[in-house]
Amino acid sequence: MSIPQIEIQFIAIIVAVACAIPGAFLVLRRMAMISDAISHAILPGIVIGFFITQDVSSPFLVLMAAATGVLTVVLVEIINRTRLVKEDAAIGLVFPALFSIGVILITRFAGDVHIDTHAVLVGELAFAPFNQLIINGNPMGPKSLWVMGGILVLSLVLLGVFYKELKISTFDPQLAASLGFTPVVIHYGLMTMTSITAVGAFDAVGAILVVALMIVPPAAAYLMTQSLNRMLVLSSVIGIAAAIAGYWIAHFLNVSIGGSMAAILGFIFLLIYFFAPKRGVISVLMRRKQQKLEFSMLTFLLHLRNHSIENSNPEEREVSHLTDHFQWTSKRAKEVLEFAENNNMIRIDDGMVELTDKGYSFTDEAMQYILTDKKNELESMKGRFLLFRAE
Amino acid sequence: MANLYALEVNDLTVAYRYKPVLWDIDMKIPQGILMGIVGPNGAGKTTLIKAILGLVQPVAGSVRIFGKPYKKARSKVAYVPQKGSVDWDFPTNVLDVVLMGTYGKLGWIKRPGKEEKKQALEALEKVGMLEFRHRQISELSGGQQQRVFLARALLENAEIYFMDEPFQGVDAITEKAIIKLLKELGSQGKTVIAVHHDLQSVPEYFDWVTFLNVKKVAAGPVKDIFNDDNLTKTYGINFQLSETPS
Repeated sequence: MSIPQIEIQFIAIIVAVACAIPGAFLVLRRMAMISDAISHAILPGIVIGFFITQDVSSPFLVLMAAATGVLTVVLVEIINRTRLVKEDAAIGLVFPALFSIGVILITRFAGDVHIDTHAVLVGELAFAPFNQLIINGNPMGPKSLWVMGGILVLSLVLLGVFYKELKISTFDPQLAASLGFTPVVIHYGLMTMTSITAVGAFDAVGAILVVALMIVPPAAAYLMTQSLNRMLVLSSVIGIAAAIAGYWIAHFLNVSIGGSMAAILGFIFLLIYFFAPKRGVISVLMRRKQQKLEFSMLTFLLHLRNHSIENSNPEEREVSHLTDHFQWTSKRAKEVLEFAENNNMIRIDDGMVELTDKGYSFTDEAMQYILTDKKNELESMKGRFLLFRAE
Repeated sequence: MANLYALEVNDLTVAYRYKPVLWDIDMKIPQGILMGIVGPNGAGKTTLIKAILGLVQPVAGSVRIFGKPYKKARSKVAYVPQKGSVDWDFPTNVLDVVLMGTYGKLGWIKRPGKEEKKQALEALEKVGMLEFRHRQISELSGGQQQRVFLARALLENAEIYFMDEPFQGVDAITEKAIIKLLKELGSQGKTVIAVHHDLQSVPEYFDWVTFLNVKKVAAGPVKDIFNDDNLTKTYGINFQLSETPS
């Protein structure tokens, strides 16, 4: 690997982690679309900052852009508060307006410089190593590496210091407010950090793909874990994996690095969406199927119990009863019978079905479970049958 | 302290877009009582609690808690929001949610440590949820969610507890367990103010009652004011307690 290659991957990794942190909170606060708005609306801030400094990676640019990002959020909230326009429509009104101002400014006044509309949309990570930070005449590495690194450190420090405040104001804003944690401050703090991160990442992957880096890794991590810590770590790991894989795919196919990173992210998300151990689509479908089978078995067992040998007509206990009276298909009847027999709940003797001792105690427990709400006492059942587990 | 009111509300008016939700509310609540706030839907019960806690801005009026404005009395107050007000799919577990009850005392930046964790486990034991401490909150039943919220409030170790519909969507056993805890708080001299829906249980659960329907209809000891007249004034239909089974 050449030095520029390492530098590019390094920048991509830093961008991915820096985006994942505010992104996780945006996803949990159901504000994913705000990242879209911010990442576009910072453009006029960047352009005006560029006019003043004539330098695309100046920290002043970051500040200008962050200010426009926060302005976007404020404008959306003002419009929303009039109740004449819904929040999603307010987002749709504000950011294209600001973005268009940025695009017009670029095409009118900066058509011949590094900043161009194409770079704005998809980023130019490949050029990052050419723009070196030079101190006392010595190159110190790409400027965007330093800018983005600074943003990541800031983000990590803020996360470390205000982790508790971020958590409580995201989970229970009312309690947070009543305890004096002023969720409004946390909210604007998060919006500012999102804007700052979007500016840095924008240079690397462009305005549209910033959204992918902010939203996709946390959305995928959310399906994998149920702890905020782990969600943050996993989001970062997913982002890093996509950054490295994206770089090499772009390298071999000779395509845009940002585009290939976002495509990999989409692919990782799809994998997790389908195959996540508990919340994935396949796992959910299998659990539903299992629950249906267990419930059918329970229905049948309770029926058998009502017509157990001592007190009732034997025809209720015939195997054929399942298809005749229950109106089950023979396939389903066979499945249920096999499942019950494999679990030693029933004995089948010459076409007649009978509950085993285990079947009796199971139906006992099940009736108790259905009729009482002493869930604590019945915790032990949950492990054995999916039916009794909360979805 | 003895003759200081736990809660004083003076001329409180709250409006959402020029429609008064609470109108000129006055109340003086002594310390150490359990009080239910009852009234029809839209009577402003939740808004009253939110206004007291400074979560909604009143148009006029003031609130004193133990003689001080809310901001100065915060450490004496615990709040149990409606359990529907949070996202139970949030990635966290029972113990973690209960620990949030210590955040107020910790203030900004400081994190809960061993001592706080010990207290959280004790609170969980009190509400009968100790064995669920590592359970994901998305896997709790309605009654369990309410117990978690209650444990969190107990941890705040407050003097006055505000609870928004603590019995909503909970099973009978949880309801009994919660009321037992509330009575315990009462016997320790704490004040509990709860929004309540079930009129039948008011005399059994509470010492005091406030009838609210935008305006305050009446507030006082249950034995003095819980009668047909006030119920009729509050709910606008003819109420006859004698005919309602208890």
